[in-house]
Order: sequence, then C-alpha cells, then structure tokens
Amino acid sequence: MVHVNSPLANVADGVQLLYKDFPYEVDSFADFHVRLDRPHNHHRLWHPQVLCYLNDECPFAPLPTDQALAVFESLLNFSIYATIYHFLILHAASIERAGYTAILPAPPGSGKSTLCAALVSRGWRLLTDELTLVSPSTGLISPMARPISLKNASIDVMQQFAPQQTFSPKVYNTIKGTIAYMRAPSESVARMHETAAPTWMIFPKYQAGAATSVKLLPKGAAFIRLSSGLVNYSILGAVGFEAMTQLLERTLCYEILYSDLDEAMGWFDRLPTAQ
Amino acid sequence: MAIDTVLKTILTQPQPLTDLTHPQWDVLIHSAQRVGLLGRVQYLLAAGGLLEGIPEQPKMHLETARIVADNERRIMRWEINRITRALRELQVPILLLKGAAYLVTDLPVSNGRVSSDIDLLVHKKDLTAVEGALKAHGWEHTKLDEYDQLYYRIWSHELPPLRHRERGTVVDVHHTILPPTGRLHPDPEKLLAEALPVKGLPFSVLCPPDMVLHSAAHAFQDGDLKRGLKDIVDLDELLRYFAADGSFWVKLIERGQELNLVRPLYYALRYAKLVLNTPIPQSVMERSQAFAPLWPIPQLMDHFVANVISCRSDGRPGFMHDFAASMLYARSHWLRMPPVLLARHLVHQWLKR
Amino acid sequence: MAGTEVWRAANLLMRSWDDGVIVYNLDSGTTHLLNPTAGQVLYYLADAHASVGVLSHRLACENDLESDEELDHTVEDLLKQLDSLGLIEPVTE
Repeated sequence: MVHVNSPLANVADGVQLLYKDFPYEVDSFADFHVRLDRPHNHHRLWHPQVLCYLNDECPFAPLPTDQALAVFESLLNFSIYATIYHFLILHAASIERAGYTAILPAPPGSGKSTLCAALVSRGWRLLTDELTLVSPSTGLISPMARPISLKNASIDVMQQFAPQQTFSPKVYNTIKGTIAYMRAPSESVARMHETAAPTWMIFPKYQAGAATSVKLLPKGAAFIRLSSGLVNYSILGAVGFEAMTQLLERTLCYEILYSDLDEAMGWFDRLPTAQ
Repeated sequence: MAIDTVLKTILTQPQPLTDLTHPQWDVLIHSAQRVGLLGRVQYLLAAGGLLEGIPEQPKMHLETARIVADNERRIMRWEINRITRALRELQVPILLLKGAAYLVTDLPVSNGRVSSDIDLLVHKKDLTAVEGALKAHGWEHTKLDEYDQLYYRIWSHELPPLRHRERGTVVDVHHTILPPTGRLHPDPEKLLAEALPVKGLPFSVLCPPDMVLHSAAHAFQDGDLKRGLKDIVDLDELLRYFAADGSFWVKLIERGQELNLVRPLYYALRYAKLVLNTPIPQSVMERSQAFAPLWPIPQLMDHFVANVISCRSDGRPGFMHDFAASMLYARSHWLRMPPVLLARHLVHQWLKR
Repeated sequence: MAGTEVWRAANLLMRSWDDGVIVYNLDSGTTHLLNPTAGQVLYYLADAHASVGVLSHRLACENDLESDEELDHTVEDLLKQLDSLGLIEPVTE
C-alpha cells in the first residue's frame, strides 16, 4: 500500500494511466509514503526539477520535472528493496501460464523487460517485471503486476509488436536513456493476489545477430549467476540461504541466448510440454 | 493518546496495542523507524508476547525491523571476530565502546539495537600499532581531503575512520572519548584503568558507571541529539540494568566527578527521568542538581530536547523540531571546538556541499 | 609449523550439488561455491577438528590417492585459502 502525494501533473496522469486497475483506499496503513515535489531552489524558475521523498527522507538527487514518472517508478523499486525483508527479493521478471512459472533474472541490457513484455502481451500472466518476491517459508512468488519498464529501442519494438497494449508517454534523457512503461494487463492485476510456484529459472541474454540457443545450467553456476541480482539476500542471513537453495533445487535452470524475439518466444511456448 | 506517548509507553511498559487505528499504526511505525527505534520496539513487543493482536501490515514492518537488527548484530559479531584476529598479537589494552561493548557483554540494551560501526579506545601511544595491524588485515582509511585528515589527526579524538576494503565496515579508533579541543577532558588512562576484561576476547569494556557516563557524554556533549530519543533509550536501559547493583548510583556520581563529566551526567539523568521515567532515586536526582548549568540554560535545553524528540501527530518533524535540532547541532559543534576552529570547520563543510 | 595446527569449521550451512558445494557461513554471512574437493575437506572439518595430516590422510583414503607430501602441501594451501575466506579457524585452546 503506497501513499502518493504530488502536485505534479505528469505524476498524477502517469499513475492513473499505469495503475488504473489497482485498488485504492483512504485512511489506511501505508507501507510507504511517497512524495514528489519541486525543490525550493533557484531551479524552480528556469529548470524545473522534481525531488522525491520516501517517508520524509530524500534518497535521490533532484531531476528535471519531466522525468517525474520515471522517478516515481524508481522510488517504488527503491522502497521495496530497501524495506521489504520478509521476502527474498531477486532482480528478475516472473511470468506464469497454466500453472508453470518462469523467473527471468537479468542485469540491465539483457533484454529481460522486452522479452517479458512480449510474453505478457501473448498471454503469459505478468507476476512482476523488475523485482521478484519469493516467500522464504513457502517458496511461492507474490506478484506485484506493476508496469513494465522499456528502454530506448525496445519501446518502439514493443509498440509495434503489441500495439493493443497501453504505453505511457516516453520519458526522455534519463540516465538510462529514454524510458516508457507498458501497463500490466488487467487480468494480471486482477490476479495479483494469486501466488505462483516457480518452475524454471531462465537467464535471458539478448545479443544482436545471435542464433537462439539454450543451455541447461548446473545449480552452483546458477547460484553464482544469480548472485549479482540478489537484492536483500545478505540481510536475510540463513533464511536467505535456505530460500535460495530451495528455489534452485525446485527449478530447472536455463540460459537462453537470442536475437529474434519470435524465436525466443517460441521456445518459451514449448517449455511446459518439454517438462 | 498522542503518538509519541504510545512510542514511549512501548519503550518503558509494553502493553497490548489493540485499539490503534491504521493511520495511528502508520505514524507509529514510521516515527519509530525515523529515530532508529523500530528494532527496539519489535524486540519489546516480541519479548512481551504482544505481537499477536497486531494487524498484518504493521506487523510486516516490525518483522523487517527484526531482520535488520539481527543482521546488524551478526555483522557486528563478525567484525569483532575479524578485529580479534587482526589485533590479538599486539597484546595492548583495547577497549570496546558503545554497541560492540553492549553486544559482547550481552546487555539488554543491545536487543533490537541497530548499529554496526565498531569503536575502540586505546592508549595514545598504541594508536600507530593498532592502525598498522588493522591496515595489514584489510582496513584502509576512507578518502578524505587533506583538511579532514588533518582535523582528525590533530584535533579530534580518533583516527580517521578505517573502512574494510572488502566488507565495507568501519572501525573508529579513539584515544579519548571526547575531542581534545572540547571543554571537557575525561582522562582516558582512568577509563582504561577501571576497564573490565571480556571473557574469551582480548578486549575490555568500560565499567558500568563509565559506560553510562560515556553514553551521556556521547549524547549530550559530543553529539547533536539527532536521534535524541534513541540516545535517551540507551541511557534508560543502561541505568535500569546497572541499578540492580545497590552501590551503582554512588559510584556513578563519584566517577562523574572524578572524570569531570558531571554536566552530561546531569542532562542524562534529567532527560531519562523526564522522557522515559527511568527509576532514579530521588537522592541521586537532588545530588545531580548541583551539576546543572546556570539559568536559563536548563530551561532552554528542556525546550530544545523536548522538541527534538517529539513528533507531530502526523509523524513528520515540524518546524520547531528542525529549529531545535539545528540549535543542538550548533551547540554540539560549539562544545567540540574552540570558536576560531569552529568557524573554519563549518565554512569548510559548507563549501564541500 | 602449520602441519600440527588444528582447525575447525566456522558455523556453516552446506549443500552438495553436481558442480560443487555451496556454503553459507552463519558467522560472516558470506556465501561461497567450492569445488567438490574443497567442499569435502570442509565437510570433514565441520565433522571434527583436524590437522593437515589427518585431513590429507582422510582425503587420500576416501578418494584412492597417494597420501604423500605433495598432497599435504595441497591441503595446507587449501586450508590457508579457507582461513582467509573466514570458513575455518585455528583451534586455540
């Protein structure tokens, strides 16, 4: 539950567009108080800026106002991984279909979000695009169904690939380049409270011109690969270790190298029957 | 019931919290978090069997605070392990201070406490040897400009902080407990002389009265009370625990006089009693009055301290809080450094921003 | 000499997988992936305190190897590495 406070129009519009299907309440307990506002400095007049606050502390430096929506999404990510410790958090997308769930861990630039957006637009349920929350006690993933963030060239790719999806306006000149968000399908949001048992851990890697190739990964190697995408693992201590080892023991781990999105998606489609 | 009262009640006499509304929980959780006391709150509620009736959402935040506190504890224990490996060959007297001391002696104040820096006190003549041994085991000085390096080495009471190359954890090595440029100079030799050895480790800790006096000096002489309530909670816990020894109060006053720390002791006793109703014998309160500063300072301090530790009912610090906090910050620098040095230091800090 | 020094494992959680042993050090909070041999030695030390000689002998027996000075040196190097990682400690009492 997030309490959002901002006088900025692009924040209000962006949140309404991307979180249209999310429930809202008043007078409740807010896990995070998020505020985006203009800082009180001379930039106010000719280089309008936005400053964000999480529970009255300011984690980021000011940025131009037209990046406010991106700031909002980054701030939510930050809020989650800085404070949610009763889940093991992985930097990974997760998708589910017919009871089978794939976790897609990947560093920036691996094409994870594009692949995730493509799969979601073709019928996979979006559990999450950025942060996968795994319960240490049950091993199940708790979905968030927040917007999928797309960068630079992949924005146009996705808008062509799935024109029926809803996209936010582009946000230019962020440190990651141009960003836009694809709203999670209503069904994914409606099923946000349905947890999912992970079946596969699939490490995607986009490489221009590469033929699609898939490799099975041994558990130890998968753990090492995952280690750079672990957000709160070290804070969880022994609980985190048990959660990780069980996750790897319950899933089949693959690495997929691809350049052709359709081919990669074809492999995903065939996955459940290959089990 | 005003929210800061609820927080104080949990800290001193935990009770079931069944009639708090969701917005009230919101304020309570976020204010405790802001002053670094959520871990303590969780510990007290858990120890009192009071977690049962709490709604799911705030309970989740309490659970997070527990995980963080446990993790900090583990980090601190491991650091002590590694420092032991680095320093045990030296065979020089080394004192653990503050959080590390509370942890190795299993004091109740260490429960739910969140801190991971390690503070050591050594004889000034052993500073170089200790610094050398730590550097040989992976600690290195953080990047400081020349001015800051000079400030630490010449004017301060500690080496520039040492950060471990791989773990990123920090060790502060002190040779006194207050800056030499300040107005009070408790003799470190006296502290070391009365220190108590810790079983199984090559370290000692301050004796009980000295622990309290150090905590008081840290809060009221050296510090700016930024986390005011947290400092007072530490003092309250230490006083309650050590009071089990009947002779503690007399020793506390005597030692305060011997170390010339009666002024911070006066403040410590006054505010522990006022804020958290610490059970301090009336005779001790009366005795400490003799150490009070002249009018109007006690009244001003009362006002500033009250503002710094309170929170508005929506949980956000207000103007009065910020003003009081800035007055205390200015005061702490004034107490730390002579006026000429202070002007230079503040200008330098401001320019760096 | 290190040959007579006795070692023990830190407080560890371990899992043996096809490609190695994944270890969690409860004291330091660090996680390591060790090759199977290093993992084996660590399992021995988690079982009982031991010196280089004892470990070398056990490793030789269970893996059908020559128990010789070269194996001793290998084990000694391994113990130095495990010590620097904080996974083992010398027994000082």
